[in-house]
Amino acid sequence: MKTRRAIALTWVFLSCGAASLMAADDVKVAPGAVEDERSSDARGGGLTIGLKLTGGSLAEVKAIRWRVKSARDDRGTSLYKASKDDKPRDFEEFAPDRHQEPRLLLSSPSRDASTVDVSGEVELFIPARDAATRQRFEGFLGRLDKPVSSSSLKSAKVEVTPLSASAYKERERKNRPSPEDIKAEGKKHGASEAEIQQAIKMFEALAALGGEAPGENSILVETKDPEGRIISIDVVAADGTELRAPSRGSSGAKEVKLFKIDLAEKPPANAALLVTMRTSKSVVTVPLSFKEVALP
Amino acid sequence: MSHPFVSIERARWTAALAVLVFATAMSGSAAPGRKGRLSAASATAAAAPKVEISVESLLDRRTTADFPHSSLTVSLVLQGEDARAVKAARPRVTRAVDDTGRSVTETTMVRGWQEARGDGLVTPQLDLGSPSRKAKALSAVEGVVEMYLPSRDPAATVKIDRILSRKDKPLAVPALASLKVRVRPLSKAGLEREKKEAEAKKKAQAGNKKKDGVEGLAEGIADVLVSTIESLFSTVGENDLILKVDDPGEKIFSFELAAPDGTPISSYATTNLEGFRIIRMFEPIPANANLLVRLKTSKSFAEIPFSLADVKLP
Repeated sequence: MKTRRAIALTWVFLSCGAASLMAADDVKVAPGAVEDERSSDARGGGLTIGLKLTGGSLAEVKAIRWRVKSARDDRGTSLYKASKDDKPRDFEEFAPDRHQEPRLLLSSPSRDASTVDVSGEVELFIPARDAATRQRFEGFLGRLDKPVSSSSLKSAKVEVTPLSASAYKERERKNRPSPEDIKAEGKKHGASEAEIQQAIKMFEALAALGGEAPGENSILVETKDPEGRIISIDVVAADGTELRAPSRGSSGAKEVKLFKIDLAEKPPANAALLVTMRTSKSVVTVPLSFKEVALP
Repeated sequence: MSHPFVSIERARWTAALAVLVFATAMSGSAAPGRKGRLSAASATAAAAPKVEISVESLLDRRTTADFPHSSLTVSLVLQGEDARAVKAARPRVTRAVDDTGRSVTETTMVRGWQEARGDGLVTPQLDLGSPSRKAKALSAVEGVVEMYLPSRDPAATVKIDRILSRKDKPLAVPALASLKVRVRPLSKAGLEREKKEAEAKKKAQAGNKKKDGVEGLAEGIADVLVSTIESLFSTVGENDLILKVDDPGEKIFSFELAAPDGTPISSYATTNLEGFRIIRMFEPIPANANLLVRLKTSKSFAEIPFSLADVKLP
């Protein structure tokens, strides 16, 4: 009897595992909307191609990122040039019903061109493939301004710190770019001195306007995630149900990022922080191969 | 090394800038009505301003998506002796065709009046239909540019000295009163009073049992007023000038700020919100700044035709 039960359980386990492991095998990537923005002045413009993902297991895909290996129009113009400084792009959250499809950004093709070919790959984040993708931290509201800890976060080189309102405001002030930072960034992008001065004034004016201050419904978090492992940060009730957040905002980059999650209601004291991270087991790579995509 | 926050903030604030630029364009478009256009036509016969029109840049936005549609935007630049006297312009296309023979005159975009940029020149944009991908150039673009030149009519500008010293007091200016125009600069405290008055009005309306007909409408208006003032509170910057404006005949074209010697004091946008105008400022307004109320008068409008040929497409 025990043996039969063990076999049955093993079968269920294998079936579930196999389903997750098989997931994404049927996901296909096709070109979506194509937009060619052609500008007579040197700045701006480019070709964007939407990524249309299809497949029965698409619902399990929670985030994606992509990499272009080559792109060329039918006149031979290369639309993508790899650079040594290129860093892998961040994963972006994905849902099959998302409003705007993810889009590749390429250089402008020749006006004479009629079609383009693109090759590359798309990485799909499927948390169902690895339970370690979801890290839950209980009672975090009682331990503000101290990093939460787990071996998974440590091995992923990720630091997550729930913040008090005062610590959040202080970090926000400290992280605001100085005029020197804006100047350096402007110069990097070839902006003129007048444009840089205007940008500095604009930053100051908008900083004076300020964002909405954190309230009692706000969850404030700082992350340090040099490898871009974090996919999302959510707040859940003790029973695991997600607490609705009508407004979310973040500023900063992977190295240091500040999150402000404004919940619909004041969170209960026993709310938990749910950090979703990518792991090697949770990512599946599918090829991207577009041939003779018609230009508008 | 770049600051890690700059790139993200840049993107976020560039979007904010786009919204502000949009707000400026919208406020310009909302200001002059049909009367301005008719006046412009009659003024043309009197004297054509010395303005040359040329193409500054083109943006050919081609897409397979249903919305927004493909379109071609041509940025014009006004130059010449009278170019700096032009405070706003509005181009209208009568004929545009690419070198494959496709007409691109029709467009779904409608732009209003476009104001001068920081260097004092107006660069009005006009929107055309999408040219053929095979086209190399626009063989012809013809139309007219309507212009607002308040310096051509002394009656088009009403100057109010030291505007900051007049906050929360109705301005007693005969030139505005004769047009039934009322302008009141507001302090933050004045805006707070406006909010309280609007809330009191809303409360009084809520007290009425009948909610249909005129009373229902009045309650709706009170609601709008309260939410308008609330949104003013959330968007007004420290340096901005808030004006409460009552202009039943739509006689006001725009507001500007100037130093006592007439040097313009630049703002980065003007927002028009249900009877309030906010002049957005990067820096504090000097205490001796004057407010210039630009009015729509027949002599202050003009229009000139333009005809462009062989405009190379990007």
